[in-house]
Amino acid sequence: MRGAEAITLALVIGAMAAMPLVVGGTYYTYLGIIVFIYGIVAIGLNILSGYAGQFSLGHAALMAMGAYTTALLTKTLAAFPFFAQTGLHIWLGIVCGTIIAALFGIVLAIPALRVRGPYLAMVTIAFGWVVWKILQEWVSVTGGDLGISSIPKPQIGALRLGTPQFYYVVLALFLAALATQYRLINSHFGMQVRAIKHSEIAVASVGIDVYRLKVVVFAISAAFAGFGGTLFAHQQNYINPDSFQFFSSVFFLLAVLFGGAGTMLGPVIGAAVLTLLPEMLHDFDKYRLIVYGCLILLTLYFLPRGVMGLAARTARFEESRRDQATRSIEALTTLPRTSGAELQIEGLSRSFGGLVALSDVSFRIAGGSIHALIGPNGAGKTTLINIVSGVYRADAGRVIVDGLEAKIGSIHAAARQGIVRTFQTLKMFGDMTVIEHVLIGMARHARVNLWDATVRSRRYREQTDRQLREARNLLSLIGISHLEQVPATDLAYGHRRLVEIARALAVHPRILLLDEPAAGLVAEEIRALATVIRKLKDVGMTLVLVEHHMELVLSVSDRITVLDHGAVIADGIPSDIRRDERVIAAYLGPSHVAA
Amino acid sequence: MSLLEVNDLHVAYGELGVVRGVSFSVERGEIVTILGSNGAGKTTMLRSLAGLIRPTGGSVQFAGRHIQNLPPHVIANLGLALVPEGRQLFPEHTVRENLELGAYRRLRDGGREGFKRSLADIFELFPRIQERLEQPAGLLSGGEQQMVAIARALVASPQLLLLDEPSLGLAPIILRTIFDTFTQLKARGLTILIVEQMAWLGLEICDRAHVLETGRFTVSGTSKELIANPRVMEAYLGVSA
Repeated sequence: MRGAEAITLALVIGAMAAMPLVVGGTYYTYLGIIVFIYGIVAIGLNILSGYAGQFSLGHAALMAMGAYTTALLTKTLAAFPFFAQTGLHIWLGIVCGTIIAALFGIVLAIPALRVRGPYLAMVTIAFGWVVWKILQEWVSVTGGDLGISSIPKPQIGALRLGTPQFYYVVLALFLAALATQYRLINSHFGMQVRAIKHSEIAVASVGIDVYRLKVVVFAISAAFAGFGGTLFAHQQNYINPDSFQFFSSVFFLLAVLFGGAGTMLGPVIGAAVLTLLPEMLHDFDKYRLIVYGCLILLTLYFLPRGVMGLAARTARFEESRRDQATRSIEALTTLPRTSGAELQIEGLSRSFGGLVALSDVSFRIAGGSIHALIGPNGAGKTTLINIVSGVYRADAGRVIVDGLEAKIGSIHAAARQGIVRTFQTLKMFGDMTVIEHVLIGMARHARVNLWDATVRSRRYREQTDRQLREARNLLSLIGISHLEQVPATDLAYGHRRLVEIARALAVHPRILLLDEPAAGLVAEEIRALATVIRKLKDVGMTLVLVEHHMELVLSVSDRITVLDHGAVIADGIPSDIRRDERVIAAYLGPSHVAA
Repeated sequence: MSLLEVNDLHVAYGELGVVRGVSFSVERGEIVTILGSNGAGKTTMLRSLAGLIRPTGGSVQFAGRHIQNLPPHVIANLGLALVPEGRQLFPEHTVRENLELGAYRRLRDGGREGFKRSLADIFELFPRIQERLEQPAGLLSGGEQQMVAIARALVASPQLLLLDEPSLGLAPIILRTIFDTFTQLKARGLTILIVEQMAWLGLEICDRAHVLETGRFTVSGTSKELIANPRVMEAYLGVSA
């Protein structure tokens, strides 16, 4: 953190800390607590919606889970003198409420594995509705519409906290929540979370189980919401279903969007403005909500990416710069040896509707060799790559790796068996930087957990340094070191391809499938690519190359298989393939022979 | 009067100048090729000509009209068609629907006959498209999608065709056909500006060519002059991989 920012931050925290002392009366202190609590819930929603791109309109229900859990638990425990004296029941309630909410977050994640975007939002609305109805109708437990009253006041030891004291407790917890968000998002986990917003298939392609990742994100997000809910219950001493209606969920999403989804401070600013604004508009009396609505509308019109969205890109860019990605660490200079696997394709068939893409294709790729797969457009090359890498399932046939039939049920399963690919239609992670793309590729080798990431343990720091060194090494091998900090959206087409190769290499593949790596490269760049491909072979990797640049194919390949109309029409060494009449007729064309 | 006159064109993203003072012209019925490595600013330049990015300086005249501040649909309606890099088809629409959308203005103005003729021409150029006509474009292979992208621009019957890497993902046998097609289209009076990484293809069919390096033209000349230039040879035409 640089000097000016540290000073600003200190001033803001100082102002928040001084507020109850300066402003008379408990009303503003109370409002401050509410802002912090809503801020915590909004941070949770921001991780889910802003960073991971999974929209939820059910967060008020998750907040309710926390609130009702702690309310019921602490009311029961308060009867015991032990708890009444130590105040432990409050903290127990807060912990349990947070955990229960996280568990419901996992429940909510299940539909998210199948549906996306607006459909997911609908499911979360339904979830919120069901929870709300249960709170209303299950009178014997929840008290129905009347809710639960006389929830124990927060206390530390035997000391009961009044509003001013609780203000400081909540402020501290709020700052901790903000710091947790910062560390999570800027960790290896945060990188994966931000990546699934842009391309789930590419996240899976580096061996990450996208389902599991989504479940974890939902649980974390729900934990924040539940945590906020528990604080809310103890602050209010009284809760009823009205606080957790659909509109509350809308409020939180609005806070995130208003402040700037996917920014560190946006959700907090949104929560603060949307909470305080109605208070300031009392003068407008009955027109209050109209003015409120119009202000929100105008802000979103002029700042479509939210208040913080304006500066977000440069800010995040610098964050990662400061946090880890540019600490000066020298690159490694050697590639580790790889035991490239042998790949055998046996009788693969696949059709789409009536269209036969592959019919009974068999061939063998020797371990540690460069094997090109060529053929006219629409011959089935990419379909074959898709089957081997787990994107599609074959209708019939087997994929055999090192003599054993490979169980390739999903993309990440393929990657975990060392079969990694690049994509012909590029799959980049939005505006994430080049080095971040490569670091995500290393996720499978992570030996740290979320706790390490949050507290920045020594193990975590060591791993980060090690991975950064390796990522730099890969970038310099591919020849794009100078683009390390460039967001992928700003890259030229050919450079994006090279980033895909670096990302795939980060997974440590035993078999690397390259789908048109040279498309969009000029002669000079293709020569460099050929050098890289040869280097990878030298360390033992098996390479499968789908490519139309024949000079590249003929110069690097050990063997070439030619597909046409979904069937193998030739298989042999380059010098034979280029003279094969069927290949000339179907693929190369007569001019190529002349050239 | 040239069909396209670009004068001291500047395009920048924020502080970063990507195109930095480029001037050139394209005469009617001419093919002009632009070479350059990745990140040189070629795609940015084409996008600014089509109105997808607003230039930060300089002027662009198309058929005598200043177009540098016009929105993209107006520029397209004037007869300047861009085939973007990476195809950008409508994946859930059929190939036929993609082509009809390409000819949207023409069809709206009652040019169904003309559209049918263009379609027949296209089938002749790309028989594959006829086979795939009723399939969703997203199910086509990469190379087939590239053909549809070119066809979609052609059915609008533009005066000037801007091609951003037409060779991308195409098999050698079809490449020749497609580049021959450009020569045929030129013979029928179409003007073409090509950005191409496969330099030998781009240079072979063009009248004049420019090399763009870090946002400026460093070499300009006829196709023969460029082929004979040793530096162009080394960086863009180099054969042995």
